[in-house]
Parts: sequence; structure tokens; C-alpha cells
Amino acid sequence: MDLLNLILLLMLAGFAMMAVFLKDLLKAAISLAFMSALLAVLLYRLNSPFAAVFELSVVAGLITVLFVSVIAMTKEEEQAKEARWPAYVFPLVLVVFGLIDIRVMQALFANTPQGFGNPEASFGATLWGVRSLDIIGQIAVIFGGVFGVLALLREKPLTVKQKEDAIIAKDGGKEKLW
Amino acid sequence: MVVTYFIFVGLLFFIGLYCLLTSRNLIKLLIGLEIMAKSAVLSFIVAGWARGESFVSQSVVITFIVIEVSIVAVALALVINVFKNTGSLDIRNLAKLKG
Repeated sequence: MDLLNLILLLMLAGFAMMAVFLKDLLKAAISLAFMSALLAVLLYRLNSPFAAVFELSVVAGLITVLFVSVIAMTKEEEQAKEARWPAYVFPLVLVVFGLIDIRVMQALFANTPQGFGNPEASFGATLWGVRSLDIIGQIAVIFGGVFGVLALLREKPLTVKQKEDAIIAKDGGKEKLW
Repeated sequence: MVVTYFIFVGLLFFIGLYCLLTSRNLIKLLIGLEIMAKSAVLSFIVAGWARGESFVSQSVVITFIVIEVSIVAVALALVINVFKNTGSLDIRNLAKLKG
């Protein structure tokens, strides 16, 4: 295994832990963005440049912007108090899970047969040919997401009384409405 | 070795799951979900790389990323609505929902 890939994997795990345990939500979101950027580098090194570009632009870029804007919109006076015990228990649980993880993964993937793939295939032919039906699913999911957000963030239209109250509140009742 | 990558896939998944199980803040829960999604992405790509079929795995990952973005956008819209109604991001405030 490449040493640089191992370092990238370790840094991925480190940033993931920072995203979980940092109390400041903004710093946690930025750690997540760094994690996405590192994952993009790793994907590029694992011979998957197109997935790396998507990971970098969409996940590290767009999702981070979404997170940061929502954090800015939902600044609360008293933040939800996190329990302290998860941070103290985590190292012990991580070691136990790590030991089980190593055993299980070695049992599952030690003898994975190496494939050779199709040497004549290209990414374009695979995405638009073999996996073309996925595109329809992607379009459906995008529209589902857009309409989901629109449905959740819609506001009740103001009544005439509420509009009058809003105008009076704005100019202090100096102007006549009608 | 492929096994090392999959060990880290398991670790990342565990960190995300731990965050989901122990955090009380709604945004932190989404961050945990994102970490789990990243472990899934890494798993697909490593599998494709090991089998020499990276084009198929990349296609699947691109579809997965599109789904992930939609889920996060809708979930964050829900978070905003929850904050408007309760004035807090604490998940425990949602335990007493009335119709």
C-alpha cells in the first residue's frame, strides 16, 4: 500500500473525529469540508478522477456552503448542550471496534480476487451506456430535493390585516393606507 | 492492500455512527450522516479500483453524490423549520411532538 494513501486515510479519520467532537459547529463543518477535499485527493489517487471532481466540487463545495449558511441562520443563544461522556468513552470504544473491524475485514477481503475490467471501456460509455438508467434516477432525485426544499420553506401568505400591520410598523402609521 | 482501505471504511462508518448515536445537535447529526456517506463512497471506489472496474464504481458514486446532496438539502430545510418552531437545535425538543 502506498504510504501517501495511508497518510491520507489517517488524516481522513482525524478530520472525521474533529468534525464529531469540535463544539463549534462552524469549525465542525469546515473539518467536514477538509475531509471531503482529502477524500477527493484519495479518489484521484485510486484511479477515479471523475468521482474525485464531483466529490471536490459538490460535496466539499456545495454541501459546505449549505452547512455554513444554515449554521449562520440558526444561531441560538443557548446551544444544545452535548453530553460529556461520549468524548471520554470514544477512545475505548474506538479501540474495541478497531480490533473487531480488523478481524472482520481481514476475513472478508483478504482473498478478494483481482479483476481486470474491460480494457476497451471508457467512463463516458459506462455512464451514458451501461448506467444510463441511473441518469433518470438522478434527475428524479434532483427534482425531489428541489421541490422538497421548496415545500419545507414555503410561508403562509399574509392576510390584508397582517399587511396593514406590517406597513404601520414600518412607517410608524404616518401614511394613510387607502 | 485492499484490506487496509476497508478497515478505514469501517472506522469512518463507526465514527459517523457514533456521532449519530451520541449527538444532540441536529446539525451534528447531519455531519455524522455525511461521514457515513463518505465511508460508503470510499468503499465503492476501493472496490472498483481493486476489481479494475473503476468506471462502473465512479458512475455509482456520482449517482450517490447527487442523492446525498438532495438528502442534505432537504434535511437542512427541515432543520431550519425545526429551529423556527422550537428556537433550538436540540433533538430532544422533538421528542414531545403533538399532532
